[in-house]
Amino acid sequence: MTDPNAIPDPGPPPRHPRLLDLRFVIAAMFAIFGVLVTASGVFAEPDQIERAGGINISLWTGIALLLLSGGFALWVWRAPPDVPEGHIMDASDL
Amino acid sequence: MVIPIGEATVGDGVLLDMHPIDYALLFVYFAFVLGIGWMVKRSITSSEDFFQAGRSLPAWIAGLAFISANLGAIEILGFAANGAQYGWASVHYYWIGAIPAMVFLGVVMMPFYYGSRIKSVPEYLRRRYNNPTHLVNAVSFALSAVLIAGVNLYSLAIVLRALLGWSLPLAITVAAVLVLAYILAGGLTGAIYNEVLQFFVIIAGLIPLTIVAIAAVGGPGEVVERLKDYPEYWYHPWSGTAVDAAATDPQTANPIGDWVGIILGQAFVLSFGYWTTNFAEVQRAMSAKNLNSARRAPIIGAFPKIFIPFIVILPGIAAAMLIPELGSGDDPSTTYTNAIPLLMGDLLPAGVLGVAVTGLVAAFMAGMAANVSSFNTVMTYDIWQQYIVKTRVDHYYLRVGRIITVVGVVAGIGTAFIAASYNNINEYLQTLFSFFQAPVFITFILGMFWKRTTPWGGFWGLISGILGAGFVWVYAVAGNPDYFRSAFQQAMWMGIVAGAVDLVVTVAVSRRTTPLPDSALVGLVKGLEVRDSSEATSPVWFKRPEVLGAGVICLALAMYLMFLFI
Repeated sequence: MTDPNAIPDPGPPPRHPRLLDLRFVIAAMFAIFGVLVTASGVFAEPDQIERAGGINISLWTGIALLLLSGGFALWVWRAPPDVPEGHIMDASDL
Repeated sequence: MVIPIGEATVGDGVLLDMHPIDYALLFVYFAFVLGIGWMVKRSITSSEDFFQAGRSLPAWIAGLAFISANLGAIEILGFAANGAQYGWASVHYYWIGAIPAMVFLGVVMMPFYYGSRIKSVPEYLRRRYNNPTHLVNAVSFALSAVLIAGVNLYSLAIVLRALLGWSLPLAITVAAVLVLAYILAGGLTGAIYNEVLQFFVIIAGLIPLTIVAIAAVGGPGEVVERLKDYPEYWYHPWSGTAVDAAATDPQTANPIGDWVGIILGQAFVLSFGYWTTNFAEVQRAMSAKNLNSARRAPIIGAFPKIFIPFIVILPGIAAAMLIPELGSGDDPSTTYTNAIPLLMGDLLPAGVLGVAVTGLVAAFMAGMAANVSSFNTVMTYDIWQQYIVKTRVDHYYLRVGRIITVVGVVAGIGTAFIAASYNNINEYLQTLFSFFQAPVFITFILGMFWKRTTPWGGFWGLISGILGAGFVWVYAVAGNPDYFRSAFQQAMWMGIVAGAVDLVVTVAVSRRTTPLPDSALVGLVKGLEVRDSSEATSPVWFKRPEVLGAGVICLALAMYLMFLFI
C-alpha cells in the first residue's frame, strides 16, 4: 500500500530538453555566425573596410550576432522549457 | 499584388565576389534548416501536428513566422526597387496597409477563426456559407499558392545564378529539396520554426547593408539633405495624393496613387483582405497554443513589421543616390530590382556578404515554404477529405498530406520552369488570382458581423466581386491604358470596385434568401463567439490584444508624423 501523500515520481529527467527548444537553436546558429563574422572583421583587409564606407561592418555585425545569440541563450537559461520527452515546447510567455 | 517576375534579369551582371567564409555561413544555415526538420520530426504523430503544429506554439513564434512568411525575397527586392524609383512613397503598404490589417486580424477576426476550431480559412466559408463558396476560395487559393511557390523558386534560382554563378537546375534543386525535406519531416512546425530562424537571418543581412549604404552616401544627414533634390513624395509620402493630382500637376503627383485609393482600396480592401484571409498568413497565427496567443501573434509581428521599410525601402533610396544610372537605361545590370544585389556587391566585405546572401536565400525559402505548407493543408482537409475520400482514420490523412507536400513542391518546380519560359502566362495568372482575392475581405466581414447574410448571398456576392475586379482590369488595360497613374493605383481601384459590388450583391441576395439557423453559426458569427480559458479571465495588460494593437497603431502613426519633420 502506498502513502497517498507521497509526491508522485516525476520519472527520469528529459534527456536533451534544451536541444528541442527553438530558442536554443537560434542561439546556437548565431553563435557560429557571430564567431565567423567577427573573425572576418578582425582579419579584414583595409580595402574591405574602405569599400564599406569606412566602417568595419563585419566586426560590428559579428559582435551584434554574438549579442543576439547570448540574448537567446540567457532567455533559455532563465526560463528553461519543462518538456515531456518527445514533445516540443517553448517559453510559455511572450 | 502582382509579383514582378517580368524582371527575369534580377541580379544580371552582378556576380558577387564570395569568399570561402561567405560560403561557410550559407552552408551552416543549410545544416540548421535540415536540423530543425529532423528535430521536430518526432513530435509529428497526428494530422493536427502536421497541418496545425498541434495548435501548441507560443505567441512570439507564431508572430515572427507570421511576418516571415510574407517577407519573401520578392518583397525585399521589390520594395527596394520601389524605394529606388519612388522614394519613401511606397511605405503606405506597410504603415496604413499591413499594420492596421494585422491588428484587425488579432483583435477582431481571430476569435472567429480560432474559436470555431476550423482548420483552414476556406473552411470558414464552408461552414458559414456553403460548398460552392468554399470551393471557389479553396481552389483559387491552392492554385495561387503553387504559382507563388514556383515564382519564389524561380526567382531564387535566377538570383543564385547571377550572384553566385550557380546553374538554374542546381539552384532550383537545392532550394526545393531543402524546403521539401523540412516540411515533409516537420510539417507546419518545421516550416514555422524555420521561418523564425529565417526572420533573424534576413534582418541580420539587411541591417548591416542599410548602415553601410547610408554611410556610403555620407551619413543620415546627407541622405535627408539629398532627398530634397527628388520630388516631394520621396520624403513626404502623402504629398501629391489629391484625387486630381495627375491632371493638375503631373510632376508632383504621387505615383503610388490618390488618397481615396490608398485608404479605401490599398488599406481597407486589399491589405485587410490579404492579411486577414490569406491562409498562408493566417495559418501561422492559428498554430498558437490558445486563443489569447493566436490573437497576439499577428500584433506581435506588427511591431517589427513597422521597421521593415527602414531596411528595404531605405537601401533602395541609398542605391538611387549612389548609383545614378540605376533604372536609367537598357543595361540589364542596373534595373531597379537590382538595387539590393548591386549594393551587396559594391559595399559588403567578406563575412557580412555571406550573411546577406544567406538572408536573401532564406527569404526565398520562407516565401516558398509558407505557400507549400498552406497548400498541403487546404488540399488535404478542404479538397481531399471534404469532397473525395471522406471517412478514413486520421493517420490516412497524415500520409495524404505528406504525399500532397511532394506533389506541391514538384508542381512548384514545374511552375518555376514554365515561368522561366513563358513570363506572360505567369503575369496573367497572377492578375487572374488577384481578382479572386480582391473582394474576399467583404465576404468574410459580412459573414462574421451580419448574421442575416445567407449562404447564397455570400456566394453570389463573392462571384460578383471577382467579376467586378475583372471588369476594372479589362476597362483599364484593354480600353483606357492611361486611366490610372500606375499599376498600384489600378490595383487599389480594382479592390474598391470589387468590395463595393460584393457588398451590394451580398446584401441584396441575402434579403431574398433564407439565412442559416443560429445552431449552425456557433463560433462563426458575432454574438455566438466561442472563447477558451485563456480569454475567460482578463489577461495582464501587456497580454491583451487590444492594448498591444492600440500601441502598434500609435507607433505607425508616430512614424508618419516623424516624416513631416523632414
